[in-house]
Amino acid sequence: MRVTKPATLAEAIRFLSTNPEAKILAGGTDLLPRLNQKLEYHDLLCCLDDLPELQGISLTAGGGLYIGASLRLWELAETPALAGYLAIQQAAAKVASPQIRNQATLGGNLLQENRCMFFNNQVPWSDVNKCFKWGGNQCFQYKGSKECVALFQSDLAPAMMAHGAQAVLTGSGGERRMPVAELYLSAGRKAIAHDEVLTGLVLPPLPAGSRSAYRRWTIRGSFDFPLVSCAVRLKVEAGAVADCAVVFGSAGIMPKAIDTSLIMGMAAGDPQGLAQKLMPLINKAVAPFRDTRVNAGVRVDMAKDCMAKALAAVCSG
Amino acid sequence: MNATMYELELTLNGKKVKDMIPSDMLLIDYLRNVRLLTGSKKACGAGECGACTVLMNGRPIYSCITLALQAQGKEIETIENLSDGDTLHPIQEAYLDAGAVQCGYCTPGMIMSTKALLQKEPQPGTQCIKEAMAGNLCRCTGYQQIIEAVQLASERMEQRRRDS
Repeated sequence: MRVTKPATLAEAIRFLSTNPEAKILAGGTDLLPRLNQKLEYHDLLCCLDDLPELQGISLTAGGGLYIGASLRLWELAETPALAGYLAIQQAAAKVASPQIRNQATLGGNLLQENRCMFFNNQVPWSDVNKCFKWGGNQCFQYKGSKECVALFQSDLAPAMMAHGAQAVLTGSGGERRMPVAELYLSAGRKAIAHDEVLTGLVLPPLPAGSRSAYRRWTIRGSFDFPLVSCAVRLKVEAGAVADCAVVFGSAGIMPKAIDTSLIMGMAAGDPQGLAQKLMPLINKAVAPFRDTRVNAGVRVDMAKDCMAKALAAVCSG
Repeated sequence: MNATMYELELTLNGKKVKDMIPSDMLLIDYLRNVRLLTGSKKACGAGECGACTVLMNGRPIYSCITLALQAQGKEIETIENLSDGDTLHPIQEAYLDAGAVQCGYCTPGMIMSTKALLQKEPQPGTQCIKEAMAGNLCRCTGYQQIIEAVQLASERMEQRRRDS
């Protein structure tokens, strides 16, 4: 395996467009474990984590924030610039362990591979009875599935979606922007061309009266992937809900937002009432298959609990 | 730009070093096999155990899931930088005195995480210690003694600061 380390973004994009086999490496905390475990192989890596164009946080002309995709998760969790975007900071502070947060990047977290209890745990027969991830045509996690249904377990994606973040992609054809939610396609694929780099995220300005929170369920208190998680952003006007986003993480192959129009105008001082109203929507939002250690029913209950806790946090101010 | 070799320059334990290495070499392999610093251990290879923990620009990272070329221009500190000749660093002494070293395999990583924690937070509470050490596993399961060792190191380093 060869690894190249371009000095500039333009050089990186040129390299990617002339080397279709090259795989992007940022912090490395998602990709390198799979390479070490021989779950994946690449001839060529393109290391982007120190590119100057992908660093830093700045104010946008519209009063929002531009965050470079190579910002490390610890910076995201601790920077005062993001103090109002609490769900994002809470999510960044919960990812894995301190060592991972010191190395992993925002862009890498949003574009991490979907994970599966069979593939990532390297069960001994997995490369003989090949699943979709190994190039086969079956799924062990969800028997009868026509495609890979591995879970997308990013903590930051639901928080970014709840805050309406836009992804900035730069490639040979120039720059384009899309909502973070649209990055995610079926079977864990991402809506990014081979010669495109996720260079940053744009967060809209925080409207007055907005609060957000992120809650998740894990087996261990720290250093764990979420079994399921929920990011909530709520805007309150005169004591009533004026705007609200509820997004579930580890809900299936991509994060899932639910329709919150049911609670518009309801009293923001009654988080239990808000949660009650939204509960029926969760059954469809969370994919009905077992995770590593919990069954489908428990995952839905955990999602309800995460939402109730996140709503309670934003309603209490 | 498409070469198999890479000219790596970094500050390793306070000294500038320069080596020609394979571009796909892991940082842990560079430290152990090229620089012969075998204190950091290569164990899980998946960022799950913390035995390979070293400091990059003062912050703990897993050197088994970091490529050596990602350390280009950075400062790397390993367990070998802690003792002053035969005189142990107060954190190392505290680990011994608290009985926090059993088989010892996780200890270099644990100590590097402790060093980063105490630099940032000289007098951490128990919860703070647990959070900071969450990325290091001890399969002898001596966690209580490890927490006590961090507290002891914190007290001793505080005492030294007062004395000096």
